[in-house]
Amino acid sequence: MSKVRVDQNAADFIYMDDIHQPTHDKNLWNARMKRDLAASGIPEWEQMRDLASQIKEHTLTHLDQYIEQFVTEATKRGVIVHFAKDDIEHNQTVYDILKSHNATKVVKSKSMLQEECEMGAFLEARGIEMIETDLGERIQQLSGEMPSHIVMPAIHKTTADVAELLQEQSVRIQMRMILHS
Amino acid sequence: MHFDAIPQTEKVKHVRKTTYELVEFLTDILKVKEFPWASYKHKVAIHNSCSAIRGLHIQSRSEWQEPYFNKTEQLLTMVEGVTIKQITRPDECCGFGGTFCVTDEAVSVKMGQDKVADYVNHEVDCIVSPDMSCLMHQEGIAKRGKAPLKFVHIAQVLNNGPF
Repeated sequence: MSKVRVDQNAADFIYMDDIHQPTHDKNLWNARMKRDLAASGIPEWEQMRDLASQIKEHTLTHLDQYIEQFVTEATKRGVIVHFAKDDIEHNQTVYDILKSHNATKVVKSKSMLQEECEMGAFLEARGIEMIETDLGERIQQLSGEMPSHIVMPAIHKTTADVAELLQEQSVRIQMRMILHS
Repeated sequence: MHFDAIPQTEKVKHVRKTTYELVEFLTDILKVKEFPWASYKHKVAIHNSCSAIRGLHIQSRSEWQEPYFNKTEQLLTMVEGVTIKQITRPDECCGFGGTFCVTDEAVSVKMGQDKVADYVNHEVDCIVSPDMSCLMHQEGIAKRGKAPLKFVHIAQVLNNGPF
């Protein structure tokens, strides 16, 4: 994965204008407030959080066993499991499957792993059109940007940004339709 | 915590166990109940550093479902004249973060500016903290923004100066 200059990205975002950073701050703070409100309604919240933390730690420290178990059970049910040692092998594996089916289009749900592997660019360069099914990811795909957050990929964009982007996109589609007719 | 670079002998363990931050030492060990010599007539906002909150736990963490407490506030309420003001984001990081303020200067400054704006919006005139580095960072930003705020260490208030 190409190196992301976090500090430079952040500086560019802060200094771009007086709208984006304050809106981003407000949106994230609202998300935090909603989270606090939900948590305060559950008396055993902290115990649940501890338990979840223990489960996560247990799973991560026994990952080898769980992967083997998953592969065994999934294979039993007719699933083909692929292993890849790095991004190149991962992308190539996906591409080979698509190619063997003569696929030219693929839909993809939100995946940070595939973002890190830069799978989209890899497939596009080989003539496969990829469409993100998650709206935030789709917005980022159309912008040619990486997600700015793992579960809220387009949280740094304002409503006006998205409106402008979708308008441009619709103009582009209409132009293509006119040219092809 | 996780520091184990030197052998954990009995002596080392003893030093670790008996080393305290000022606020927790006054609150938990000396159990001070009054500061009759101190007077501080100011509208005060408290700033406990992230490490003091999340590491030393001298105040309850707002993202946790736990009863409210604040040892710094507990001490300051014993000082005559002090009015404690609650800001909107009382345990938000001020953006100093040691080398972070050099490596991520833009974010560090913005966080400091947001913190200072929070004080100004709540008509605070003084910020009291047990952490010098947070105070330094915020004071620098307030001065550049011409915000009329004083930044003092809690030891100055509890000792009645010098300011």
